[in-house]
Amino acid sequence: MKACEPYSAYRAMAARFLFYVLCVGAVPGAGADETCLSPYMAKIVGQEDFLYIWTLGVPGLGDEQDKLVTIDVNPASSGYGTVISALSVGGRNEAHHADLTDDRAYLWAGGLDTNKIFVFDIKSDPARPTLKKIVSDFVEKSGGVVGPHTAYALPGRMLITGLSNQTDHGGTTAMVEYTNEGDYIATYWMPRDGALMGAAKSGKFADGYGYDVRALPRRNALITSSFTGWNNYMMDLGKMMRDPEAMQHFGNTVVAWDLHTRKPKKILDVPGAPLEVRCAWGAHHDYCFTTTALTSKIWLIFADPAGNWKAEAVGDIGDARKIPLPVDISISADDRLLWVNTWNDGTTHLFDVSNPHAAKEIFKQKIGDQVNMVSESWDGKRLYYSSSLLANWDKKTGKAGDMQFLKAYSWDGRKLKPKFSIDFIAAKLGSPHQMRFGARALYASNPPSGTSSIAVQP
Amino acid sequence: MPATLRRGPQALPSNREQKIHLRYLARTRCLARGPVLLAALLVGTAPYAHETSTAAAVLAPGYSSLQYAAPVAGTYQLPPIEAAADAPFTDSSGQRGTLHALFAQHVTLLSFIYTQCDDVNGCPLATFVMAQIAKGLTADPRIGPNLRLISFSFDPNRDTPEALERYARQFRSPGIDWKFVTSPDTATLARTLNAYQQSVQQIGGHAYSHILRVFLIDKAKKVRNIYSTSFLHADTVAADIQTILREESATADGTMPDATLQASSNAGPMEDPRLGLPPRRAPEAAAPKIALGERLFFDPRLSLNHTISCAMCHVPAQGFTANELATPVGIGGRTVKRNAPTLLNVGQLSRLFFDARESRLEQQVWGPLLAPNEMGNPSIGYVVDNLTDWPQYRGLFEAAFGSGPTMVNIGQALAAYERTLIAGGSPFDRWYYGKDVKALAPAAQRGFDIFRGKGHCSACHTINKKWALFTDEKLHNTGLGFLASMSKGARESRRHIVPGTTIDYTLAVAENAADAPLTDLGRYEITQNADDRWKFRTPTLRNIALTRPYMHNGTLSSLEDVVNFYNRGGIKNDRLDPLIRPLGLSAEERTDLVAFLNSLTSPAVDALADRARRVAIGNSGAGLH
Repeated sequence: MKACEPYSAYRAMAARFLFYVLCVGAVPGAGADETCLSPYMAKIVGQEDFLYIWTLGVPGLGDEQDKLVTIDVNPASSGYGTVISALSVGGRNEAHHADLTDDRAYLWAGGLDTNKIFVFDIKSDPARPTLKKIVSDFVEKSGGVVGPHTAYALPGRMLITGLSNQTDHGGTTAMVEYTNEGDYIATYWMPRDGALMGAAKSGKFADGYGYDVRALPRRNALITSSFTGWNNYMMDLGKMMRDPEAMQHFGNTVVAWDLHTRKPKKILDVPGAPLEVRCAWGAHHDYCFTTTALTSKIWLIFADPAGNWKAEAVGDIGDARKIPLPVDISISADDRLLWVNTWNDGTTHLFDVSNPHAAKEIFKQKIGDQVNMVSESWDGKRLYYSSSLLANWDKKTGKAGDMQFLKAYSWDGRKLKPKFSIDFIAAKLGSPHQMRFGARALYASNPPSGTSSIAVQP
Repeated sequence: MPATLRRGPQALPSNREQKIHLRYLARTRCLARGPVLLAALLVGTAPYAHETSTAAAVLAPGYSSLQYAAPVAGTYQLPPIEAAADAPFTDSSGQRGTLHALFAQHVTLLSFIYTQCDDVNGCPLATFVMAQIAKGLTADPRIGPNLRLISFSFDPNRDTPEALERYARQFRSPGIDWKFVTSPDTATLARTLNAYQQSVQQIGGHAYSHILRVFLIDKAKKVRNIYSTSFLHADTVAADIQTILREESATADGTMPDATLQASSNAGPMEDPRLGLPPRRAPEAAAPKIALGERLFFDPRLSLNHTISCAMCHVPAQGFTANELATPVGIGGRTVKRNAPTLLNVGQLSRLFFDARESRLEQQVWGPLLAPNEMGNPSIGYVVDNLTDWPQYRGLFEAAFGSGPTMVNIGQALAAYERTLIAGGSPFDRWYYGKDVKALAPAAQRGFDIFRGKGHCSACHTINKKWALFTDEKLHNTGLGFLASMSKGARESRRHIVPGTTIDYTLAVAENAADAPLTDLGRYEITQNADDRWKFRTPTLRNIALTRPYMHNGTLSSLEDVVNFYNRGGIKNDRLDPLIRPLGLSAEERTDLVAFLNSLTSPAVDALADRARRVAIGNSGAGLH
């Protein structure tokens, strides 16, 4: 085992090399949740052992608390497909995204409502995470940032995107940097009209909103997207959609930043709440994708030959009038494919993005009454879907097992085949959201044979 | 000195330092892995960025020219990340020392390596970049004497002082302050690695698994940057070193840049904010009570889960209401059914809430504090006990009231602050009450005539010769409440979901994800008198331009919408207030009426918002378990 850091400029080569040396063969449609992670960390390229699911507590269900649920996902294990740990953290915090530190020792899980960040130790016993620390000074130390969302690993640090602010609970927000130990470092406010902070406004919008962040180290770039503030993401979905004021307060921008100096460089118009950002891996693929929740489009964020960042709508996702609401996306390691989940109709879509300027839908399948996140093994053979979006946006009724679930599938390049599912309501766990993989081999000098493989440095 | 280090093609992968390191390995042991890569390096091939090659061809960016413009030293900040830990060491001459002694007086670049490392993108990369730094910067008299390089081996068993000395000789040259050190023993090493979050595992033979991290440390012994394989590059490190050496202050202000602050700070001399307002209903409270009330008003810990303060629904920068919502959102996202009224001039009112169920601010404040869908506190005692226990409030109640927190003095403190939100002296006030003939534009003057005449607005939004609150504080049925309760609701909705772009969508898409809308019967909910159905208190019109959206349920977005609503005669229903009837206003008259409404904004509001902005942000997580 060797857990060194793959780096972005060479990831395409790395992926091919890994597929080659691990003898997994070429898999049509290979995608990679692991490649959605920060480039600054080791990757699991073989069979994952565990799935960690940051789960919202639900009033009236079980202990009603947010919890980190650990599921055994190794088919070689006697516990395959079962919950092996559920660690409640106290209260309902609007559990949402969670991500790993660069050394994969800790999982940072944010609460969009209470602004707490729960730091789980997944290294000491990957099968039974423990709560190491609660970062509870996020608002105070950051200067009023609310809604810790993406926790993105940088070397020795975590860059956390906010969604809102303590002044008005609107969408103006910032990125906040912490050490891996949970100590505050700095705040970087999103550029907005009247406070552009040196950024160039390229279109109509400079809203100062935030959501996701990804890095392209080779381009020295950070790309951020924009959603909405606490007022909206905490609001009942029906109330919000009836409220013309609320519906006007969604982000319409993507911002390209200087990664090294953390300064905003250019603000791009991407109207309709651009959410997840996934950047291509190819050594010369200077682009990222995002999807807009309200206008149901795939957008390409790319650097032109002169190095100028631009945004272009490159595909439609369903019928915007029905608000399918694109949520999680995942780009394949070879940059050819993009999985897109639409929450409202519970469907997963696969787009051919081999021409990144013209996304073409080539596959879709209904997963449940709603579907939010998708996580995929490095080899693209296994996909995991979870259901929950936001506590007050989730659907209230539906078919048993199709409302709040984890569903595991295999993928052969043509169809998704169910492997197992867990009804989180029947199990009285809550509403599952972010998923991340774990593997014993990440932390052992001698990984168990036949289980995980860890990406060696290319 | 420019930040970018000048390196010609000869400095690319076939460089001297890289070859030296690998030849050193070849001499000292048999390489277990990477022979193809080693061969490629030693023959000077540069397979970088050729995708068709094997993985062995992949080299870290630090071996090549920077693929983007290097940062300009001194134009950015490197906020301190953490304290750099101290650790004892033995250097290559066998001398003992401590890292802190080395950090003092120098900016330090510290890498953790082992000399037997055969991973070209690991330890050799760190050594290569440090050598580039040494060559590029140490010759500069402004930098060289202030810079120190340290390569710290985590393999003390093999990297003895003698072995380190042999290794060091390959890289040393005059003028370079570059120390090669290791721990005196394995126990000390473990502590050092832990302090620098260096995960190192021996994986058999001479090999270790570790994540490359190189630390930039300032003279104050603070880590200022951490580099890993992906962005360890001599040009960026050089810029960082120069940035630290140039800086005079290290920390950044983390507070939100306020686009409005500068404009308001440039405002002219303040007019009398009381002009046009009635005499005070209560004398101004003593300063300690006001200060305490202000602290309470902005403290999110006063809600059950510490997320909502009074100011979250009464946002100072939004006219002490909430512009971005028809009706507010309470703790946990719970629905509140009525629009947040402005608190500007609230101290002048004698009937509070849209259903007028309270008469004094001291009592009114407990409504939101205890409402399950607002701040959600379970009891009065819970709030009192918290304020008694929280150290941030220790002594404040005693200083203001002579006793600890009680139900009564909590209300008094909040009321004391709210009564300071005085915002009169508008252009209309200066014109009408101040007799400044130039204070009000002609359109607004015409609008005032409509307001008092054809529009019948002043029948409810009353004024008198000495002052105006623009409210009769009575309750009226305009039909909006009736509409919300009795209409079937629109199935289709046309929404500006993107400014300038509309989309027609059916609300059915949210039906299964939505709670049923809350009904609101207005004053009836207090009196149970059928005649009071859908009656709501007349709001003040002062500062109305700042307090959109309008009406008790926030369903009208603009003043134009409001004027049009009344011009149509409201919404017909059996109990429609007889004062509400079609007005027959022309378009020009409606425009003038809106101009008048826009003249009711006080110049004092900006100062109140600025003052609010300076209130310390509460820590929403403190005190929770």
